[in-house]
Amino acid sequence: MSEERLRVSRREVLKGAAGAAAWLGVPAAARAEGEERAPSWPGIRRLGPGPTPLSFRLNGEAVTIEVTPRTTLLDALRGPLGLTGAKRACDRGACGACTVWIDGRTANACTVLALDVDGLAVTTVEGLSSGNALHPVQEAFVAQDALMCGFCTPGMVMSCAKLVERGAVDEESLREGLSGNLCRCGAYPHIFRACQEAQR
Amino acid sequence: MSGVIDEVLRPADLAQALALLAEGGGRRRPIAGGTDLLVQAKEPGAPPRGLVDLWGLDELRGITAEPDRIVVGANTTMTEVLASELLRAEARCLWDGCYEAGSVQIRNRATLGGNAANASPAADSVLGLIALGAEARIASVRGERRLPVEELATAPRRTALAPDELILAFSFPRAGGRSAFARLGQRRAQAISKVSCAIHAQLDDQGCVQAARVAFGAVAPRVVRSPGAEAALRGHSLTDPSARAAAAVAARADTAPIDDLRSTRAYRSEMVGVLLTRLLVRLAGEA
Repeated sequence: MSEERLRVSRREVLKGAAGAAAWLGVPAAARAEGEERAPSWPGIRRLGPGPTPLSFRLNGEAVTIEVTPRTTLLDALRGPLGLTGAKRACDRGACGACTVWIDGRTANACTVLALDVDGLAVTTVEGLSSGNALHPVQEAFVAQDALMCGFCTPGMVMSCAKLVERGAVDEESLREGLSGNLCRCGAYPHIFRACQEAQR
Repeated sequence: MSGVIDEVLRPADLAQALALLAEGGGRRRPIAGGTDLLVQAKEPGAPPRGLVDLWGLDELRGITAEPDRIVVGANTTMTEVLASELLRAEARCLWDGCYEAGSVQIRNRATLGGNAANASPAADSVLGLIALGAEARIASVRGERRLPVEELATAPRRTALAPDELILAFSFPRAGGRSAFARLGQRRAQAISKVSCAIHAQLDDQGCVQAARVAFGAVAPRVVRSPGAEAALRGHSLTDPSARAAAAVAARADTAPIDDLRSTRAYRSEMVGVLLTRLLVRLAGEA
């Protein structure tokens, strides 16, 4: 076994050590309680049925709205929150038009329950620019003419900004990293150029 | 709008999650990243359900290297698998399966436990787990048990899990050897596999296969092993053309693909042999 592998293993051991304890057995509390009575454990949050308050950070600001348990994050954004940047196209996680960041990671807002972002930070394309100052990726999209119909653009920009942030703008990384964002107009060459320009 | 979800229950720890599932009497389902479940929930006709939300349970997340085994928590996302040099080095068939699955957005949410519990015959991360000889650690308020991953799914969308049971983690031996995964779909990314294959092989000093585990996806009602291909490879060099041919023939005999919206029986059957051969070439270091 190589040095490198050993070193990595130790790091992963440390990272996973806390979690590992839980896998060694079912916690005693769970085993002691029977199926007959409904447990009233402190900490369980029962959300719904019906409208339920939801609080999270949206584009840097604290928001609280009411949603039903079945509401997706995309529906919450486009409905009560009035942010229509994230687009609904496939509504099944296949096209990426609704891409947002949840705690800094891209996600398809159509396949995340709104209640699942309770307490988390969500960034939409509306939060990417500050005032009238566009994000460098948005600037590059304009400069490189990286869109035609523009419907995929908000989601595309959210994925591109993450790739640029990671410096993953070589052809292979862009192909792989944007494979979840469909552009039916086929503007990919310009989109790729925009990412590379934004990186500079 | 996901029409069938009427309640979301958020436990603070594993014990609460198990209690909530037990209390639900089969009407509740665990949800992790939701990438599959929320798509299914939008289909009409499903009964109302409560969801037990596991996303916040960090105790089910993480990759642990024990001396003889690697343990991967059920809540570990595919993105987290890809960030692990340990898994890339020692569980390449699992790593590759996660690399080829979905898109960045999906891999950021999709968990190994969810992919397995969803019981899709095409589940990309499940093949690698089976090839590695992984077992699932399963718990309920009634206790804990272990099950080989290949016995987890019983049919499309059906598992051997009782309604109150939860997958905690997957664990597989650090057996050394070489492994690989490949799949075919409508396009390289995002598309659900038409055919997929994973292999793990232990080699002796002469490069002969001591033991092999071969799994196929999307060519049976669940992800399946091919005992015939495994037997055909045993004792032969990875480069032996007749062993490769025999393994391909045996693999076709062990799988039962169907015509569906994604592909045809004839194409899938042909590709079972082609994918296995490609992986043998890759493992032999020829490509």
